[in-house]
Amino acid sequence: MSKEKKIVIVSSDNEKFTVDRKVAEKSILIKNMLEDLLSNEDHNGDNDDDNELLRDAAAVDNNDLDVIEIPTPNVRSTVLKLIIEWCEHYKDISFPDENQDEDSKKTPPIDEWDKNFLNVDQEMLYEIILAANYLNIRPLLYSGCKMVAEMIRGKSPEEIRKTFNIVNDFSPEEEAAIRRENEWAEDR
Amino acid sequence: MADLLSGSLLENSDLLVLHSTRPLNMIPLVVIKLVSRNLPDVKDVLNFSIINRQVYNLVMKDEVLWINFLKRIRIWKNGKVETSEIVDDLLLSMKISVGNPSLAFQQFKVCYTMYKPIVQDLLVTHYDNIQNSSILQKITSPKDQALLLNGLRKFVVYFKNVNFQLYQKLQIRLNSIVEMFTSSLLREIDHHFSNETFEECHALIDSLHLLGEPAFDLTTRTGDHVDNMELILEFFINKFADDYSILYEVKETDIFLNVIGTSLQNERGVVKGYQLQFVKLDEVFEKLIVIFDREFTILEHIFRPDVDGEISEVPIVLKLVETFLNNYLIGRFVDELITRAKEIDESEIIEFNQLVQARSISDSVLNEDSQNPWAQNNCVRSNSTQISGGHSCGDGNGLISENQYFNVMNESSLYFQLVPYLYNKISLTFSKVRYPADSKIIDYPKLISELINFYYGQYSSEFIDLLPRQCHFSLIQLINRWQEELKKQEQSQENEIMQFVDEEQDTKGKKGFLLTSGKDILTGFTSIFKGSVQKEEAQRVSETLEYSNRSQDQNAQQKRLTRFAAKLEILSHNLDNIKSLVSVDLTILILQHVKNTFLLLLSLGDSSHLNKETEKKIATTCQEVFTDSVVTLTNGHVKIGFDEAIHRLKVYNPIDQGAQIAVEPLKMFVELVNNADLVNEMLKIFYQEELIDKHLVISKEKSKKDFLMVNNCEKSMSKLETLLDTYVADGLNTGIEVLMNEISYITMVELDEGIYSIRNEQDLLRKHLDPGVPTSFAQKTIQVLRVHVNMLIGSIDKSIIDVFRQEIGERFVNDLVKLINKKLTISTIGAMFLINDLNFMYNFFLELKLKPIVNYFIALRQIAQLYLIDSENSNEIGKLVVRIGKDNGMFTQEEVYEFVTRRADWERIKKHVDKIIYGLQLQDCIIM
Repeated sequence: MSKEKKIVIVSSDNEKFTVDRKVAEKSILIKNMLEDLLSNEDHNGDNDDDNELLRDAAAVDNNDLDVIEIPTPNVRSTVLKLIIEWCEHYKDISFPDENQDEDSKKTPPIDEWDKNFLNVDQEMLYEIILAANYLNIRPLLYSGCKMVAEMIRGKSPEEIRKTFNIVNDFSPEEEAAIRRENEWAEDR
Repeated sequence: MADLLSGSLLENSDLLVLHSTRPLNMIPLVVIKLVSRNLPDVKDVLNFSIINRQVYNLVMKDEVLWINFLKRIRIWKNGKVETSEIVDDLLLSMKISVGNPSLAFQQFKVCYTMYKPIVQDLLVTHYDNIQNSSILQKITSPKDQALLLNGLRKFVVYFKNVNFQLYQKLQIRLNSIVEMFTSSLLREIDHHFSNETFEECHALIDSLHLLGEPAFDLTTRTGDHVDNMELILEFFINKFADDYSILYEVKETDIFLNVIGTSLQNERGVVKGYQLQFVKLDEVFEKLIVIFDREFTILEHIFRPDVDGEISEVPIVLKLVETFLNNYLIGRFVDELITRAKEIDESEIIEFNQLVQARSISDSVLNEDSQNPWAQNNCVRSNSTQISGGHSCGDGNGLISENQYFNVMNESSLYFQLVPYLYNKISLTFSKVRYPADSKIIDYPKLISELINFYYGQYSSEFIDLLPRQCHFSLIQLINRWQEELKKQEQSQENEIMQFVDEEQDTKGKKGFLLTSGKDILTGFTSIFKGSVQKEEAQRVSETLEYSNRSQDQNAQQKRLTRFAAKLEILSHNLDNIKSLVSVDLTILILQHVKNTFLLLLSLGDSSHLNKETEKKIATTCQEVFTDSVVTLTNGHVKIGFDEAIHRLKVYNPIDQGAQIAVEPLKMFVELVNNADLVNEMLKIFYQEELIDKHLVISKEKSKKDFLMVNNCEKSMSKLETLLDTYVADGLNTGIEVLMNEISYITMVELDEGIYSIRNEQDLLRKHLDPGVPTSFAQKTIQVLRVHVNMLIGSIDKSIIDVFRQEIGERFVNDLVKLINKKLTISTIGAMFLINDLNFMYNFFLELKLKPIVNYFIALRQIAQLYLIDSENSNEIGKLVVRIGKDNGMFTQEEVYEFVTRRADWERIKKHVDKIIYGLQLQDCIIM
């Protein structure tokens, strides 16, 4: 790559965020995309039907050679803003191999900075988790899930349902049976 | 990411339906999994699971989640399927490792159900009085309690993520219970050990083992955790330590016995008045064998492998021996002994030192000499695994047979006696000990031998460094003593001979000396040599040192001597002694030193488990010792001996001393050369047998070797060889000189010039001369020559003999020509005698096949004809001079002319002869 390209991430409501490549690549989705795109460019851009997003980005790229626009059609700008903030914060930190086997990974307690960062309302937390999942930003996804787990700790099923607005689809008999089944874990 | 949003809301879809206020109401299942896996408390997981059907199915079927729980309580092992079904036994459930993912949930449930209440009961409710805890009332045997505690140690880790403070509290409490349990086990073990109820010990140690090590998270941060088996090792090592007090029961003064003033003080191996009591040490080591046999039997019993084979006596046996070697035997006992030995070696007890010195070389020499030294060496060889020197085997002289721990190399140092002895004794002791049955699998002798080598290493290493130096000094001392002894013996011989001088006769002799001396001298010599020559014939190489006896015998037989004759005898003895200037016996002694040094060195390498480095060091040291011995022998003995021999050859002057048949010095010198050759051979054989054959030096075959590959040993030997060659040449030159002096002397004494100038036949009759018989001059000289040229046959190289004979022949001819030309006046009658003598000599040299010399005599015989011709035929004489001068091929015409001038009638015939030769005379020259 002869010169550093400008990377612009576009939210679902069409807000544009210009970021460093390093920041953008915290998202494995974007990272893979950029790699594909730039290697395609090196090969005259023949093979550009990989996916929709890639095609869109490439098209933009063709219009203006120095700017790559990446659309995120299901991330709202308020969420995207936070995500980019997180990425900025961790841009110089490399996380353990992203492709590592999930269960061989020890999940450390949630990072203090993440804890503060994710101290948002429940709705926003969902959206961050979903966006992190979509953009494939694992450390953020894990931190989000840990936040949720924290919220669940010590709550009864009813409380959990209430907190997360979940409909109980067990019949009362079914639920009673399961509760009996689970009694082994109760303090006696 | 595969699970992208889609419109479908099917129950089995990848999305969880949430009733969110936002349109965004679907959550990827991976998020649910991640959330559930991040719930450390199993209660939360279960509560979370029942929020709805989909989550329930997801959580319950998430093997990773349940495997994580098993991992937390340390009973999961990836891929290791030890059990195919749930283990629900309280004590065994935490001993197993689960490897089957489908069992994870059920197994965790079982363990949690069983252990969670026990944690509550033991560590919370009844912590203050655990005796009341229901579980300890149910589970009472030490073994089961150990298993329970072991399970608890694992299980409490579950709480670490749930509630860290609780976890810490539980951990502390559990640890103190474990400690109490461990110490009560140890008390029990101690009790049973004291009562020698080893079966119980075994069970208790089994329990201690089952208690196991604390799970990783339990180890204290300070790192001073001691594992139970270590504790047990310490326990037994301390228990057994009492046994080792036998090492200190024996008093140092009993081991290093002061024998000054006792009958023992002159025994071999006594140093500065101290004698090592090997017997005492032997006793100590014998006791050690008994102790270790007992200890190993106990250990074998107590630590015999249990069912799962996790307990074994191997670590404790090794640890025990190592501790014993390091802390008791080598590190202390041996160290103290060696230090003391060094102290004694270095102490100064002058009077005793002198005493030892006074016990002179002859003592040991005679011992060594009383048997065939090579046979003795063979004996050493066959016995080389023992450290004993040459004295332990087949040594009949009884002086040293009772002690096999020293040889000539270490008898004067307790340190050098002690270090190899101790090493061998320790090795031997631990090879005799009966090891536990496991030794079929574990090579105890090898492992322990390695331990011994490790701990003894510093002493061996120091010894290997010190011994070559000791050997060097010892050799120098040996050689010096030898040389001194030689001088002393010569001196005493002289004194002895002088004692026999009959002063009375001497005074008489003095008066009549001039008249009778010749006869006197001759009788003196003949009788001396009658004795010695006969003896010499019977003499063998190794008997050199008997000469003192011999000379005594002789002296006893000897008539009283005049002072002059005595001096001659001394002189002849000096000559006789030449051949002992280089001694085979000394070489044997030196090689014995070297051999003994090797034995001492190699005794430190007896063990086949020695590391390569030490092996190499020993080999290199042996090479150095050998090289040093060759160099020392060459410089300290061979050189000095040959220099002295050549000096004696040079100063020997038979003209001064009186006539004799053989020129003794040369003969003696040749014997000396023989000795030196033998020495050289012995070194070579020793090198081959002791160094090459025993792989102490790697030597290629001669043919494949260039000069760069020659090692130091070989270099030193070839230097010696070169030196010998040089001395042989020098010696022969000197010998020839002496021989020629002898010939001159015989000539002086025997030559009757008158015979050759006899003018008439009456004189012949009057002098009883027979022209058909060679003159006594010719007979005597040829006799001496004959003796000498033949004397060397077989003793030196044939080419050297040829050169020697050639040289003698040429010098003889030269002298003869000078004699004729300068001294003789020859008459026609006397010419017959001359021709006869020349023929006699010619025959002698013809026999020897010395062609150039024979040619000289052919020429001389022709020339002698010049003397036969009557003076009347002076013209013929002149013609003959010319003819012979042209034809003889050896002498020029001028030289032939020189001969003819010796004619008795030369003055008369000169004119005529010159006329024939030169064609004119002086008178013919008229001054015009």
